[in-house]
Amino acid sequence: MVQILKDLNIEYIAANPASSFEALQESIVNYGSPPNTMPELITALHEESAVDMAHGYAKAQGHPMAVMLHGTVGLQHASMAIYQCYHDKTPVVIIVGRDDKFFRQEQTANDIAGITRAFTKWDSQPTTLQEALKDIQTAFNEAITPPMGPTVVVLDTDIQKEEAGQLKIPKYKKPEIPAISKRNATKIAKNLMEAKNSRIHVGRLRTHEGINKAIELAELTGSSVRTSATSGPLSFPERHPLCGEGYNKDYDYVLGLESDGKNTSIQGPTLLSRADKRDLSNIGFGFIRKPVIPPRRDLSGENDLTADAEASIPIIIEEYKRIQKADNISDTEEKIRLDTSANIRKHEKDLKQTLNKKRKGWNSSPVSLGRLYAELWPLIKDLDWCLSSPTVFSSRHHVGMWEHNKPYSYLGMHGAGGIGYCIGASAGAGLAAKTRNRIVINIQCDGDLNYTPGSLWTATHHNLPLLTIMHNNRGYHQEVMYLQYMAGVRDRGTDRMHIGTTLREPFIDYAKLAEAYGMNNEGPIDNPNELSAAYKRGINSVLSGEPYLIDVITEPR
Amino acid sequence: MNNNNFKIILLIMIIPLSSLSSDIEEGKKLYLNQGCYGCHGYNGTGRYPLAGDVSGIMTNKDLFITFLRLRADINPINPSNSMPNYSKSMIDDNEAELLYDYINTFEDNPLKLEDIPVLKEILESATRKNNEKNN
Repeated sequence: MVQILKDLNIEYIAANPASSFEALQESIVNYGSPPNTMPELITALHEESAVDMAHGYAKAQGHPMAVMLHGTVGLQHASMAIYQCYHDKTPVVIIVGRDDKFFRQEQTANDIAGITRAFTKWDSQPTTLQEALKDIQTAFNEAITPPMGPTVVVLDTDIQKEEAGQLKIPKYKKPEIPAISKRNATKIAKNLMEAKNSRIHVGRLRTHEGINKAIELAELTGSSVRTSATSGPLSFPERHPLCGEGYNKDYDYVLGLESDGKNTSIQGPTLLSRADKRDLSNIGFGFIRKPVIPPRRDLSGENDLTADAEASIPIIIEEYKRIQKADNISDTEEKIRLDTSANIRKHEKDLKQTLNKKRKGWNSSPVSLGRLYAELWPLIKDLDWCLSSPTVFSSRHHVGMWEHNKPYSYLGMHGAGGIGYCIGASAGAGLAAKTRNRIVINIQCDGDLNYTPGSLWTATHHNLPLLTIMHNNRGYHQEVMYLQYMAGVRDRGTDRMHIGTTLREPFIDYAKLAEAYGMNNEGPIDNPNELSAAYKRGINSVLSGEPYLIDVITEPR
Repeated sequence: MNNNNFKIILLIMIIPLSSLSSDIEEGKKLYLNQGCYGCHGYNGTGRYPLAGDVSGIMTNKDLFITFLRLRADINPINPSNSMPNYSKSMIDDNEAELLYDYINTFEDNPLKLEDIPVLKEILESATRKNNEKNN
């Protein structure tokens, strides 16, 4: 089994230890030379954290890692995180240990995978070792095939303990990712060629290689590009010369790649397409039920193609090159020159406006969120960095100021808005960064950290290059605002809205929390003039392989 | 000036000052207790700033109070994090005036972009990079 994980390039497997997978765990840490590599066992302090790590890792790396969970209880602990991976179309391979002979019968079930079936993409419960080997490969393939998502293999302890003997590892076959037909590719290539002002909207692709292909297509066709890199991972580099509105906003052909396009959209199958097969008791989770509320764009237009965009790009490139003529090349070069120049001018104008907004409350205490982000950017811009945390609660100040040029520059939202995701996903991004000379920045909301702080220990224990900066506004301010509005509607006071929504009396000391988990730390800081020096100390620590937490007392938003 | 006259003048000066100061304190208490800081920041420089009357609602007291009451016309869409409605029973006119006076003490006079080294560096660095791209 471990050899199969190695062959699938599974770098890490996260788990909180348990009695239903000790046989597999023993193999992971002892099999191979050197042992405990590919995959390396990562100690998670909660099953939810383990899956969050896999979630963050997959978004950063465009490749899944694995998780081991313990029977019914472990899977239930992890279920919210699995639910978020599903909504976020993120591939994770989950192995659930099942021990029918264990005296704690509550921890086993006939069909454990049924607990999460409605929000996993595929599952199996093999009955022989041979089947189990094949099923792990299938689970991997299903996870990385659009719509990507978490998959589950339930492994009985007897199967885990069986000696492999002469058993042969099944031959691995890569999944076939459905691309557009050659006929459609020719049509798109022709449209791109005939257009005087073509444009490509790039959404979230699957892998780093896919992004390189999208860049190749844009440069080949001289198309200006709209990216989603400031909303999530795996999209077109924000500061590529062709990324921007271009010299002329009157586009005559717009192609969408996992995004809407005015003329043609290529988008992979939706989760909805799986609901009938997976949600057997019709729970009807939002966005994966019919009708979808709020309504989403229906891919029923003549030129809307349900296929994987990333798999389709190489065919379009090939067709474009086939029909390309010499005069097209000079037109394209001129278009690229005009677009580049226009995009640069626009960027400088926009950046100046953006930076002017950051001046607001620059010297205020508590620290303004604009300054919290602004002070950090000059210190990380020349490093290979990844912003791992969702930034909606800290007002997205990186947008327009930081440059999101890597597939992992910003990992986007939680998946389903479930709180407690941040630190686990950041640790997962840290795993992806660890051997790649990259650092991870986690702007950590205080409320979120209190769900699963154990990942601070995991980050420290495994020397992950993770800088955590607390957005410590001492409360759940979104909820404060909801309550205030409700009180206004009912014509009652808003002076008790702190009840149940704020974290005061006492304040929580996050530096001490980090200290308890062995992580380097400092704070609380409420003087904005102290930020830069603290950041420098934090970055130095992270670069030397020791994660760091800085507690910053901030404005609510 | 005899001693008595001096005392009277001092009293005239001190009374309004102390009353102003306690009014401001009352306004501050209201601002914090009603949770205004959630959206507007502890110093009026939050996400929806009030310092420097950037939104225009601080033009005068009447406008400010009208704005507080105006929100009643908005249909509740839950959950919403919009500005709540404040009727007279929640914040009466006197309290609204105290709030107005306190908010008026907020100042936000940051340096110009060019005079804030971090922001200047960000702008210049981006410009340098863009020049390289253009060449």
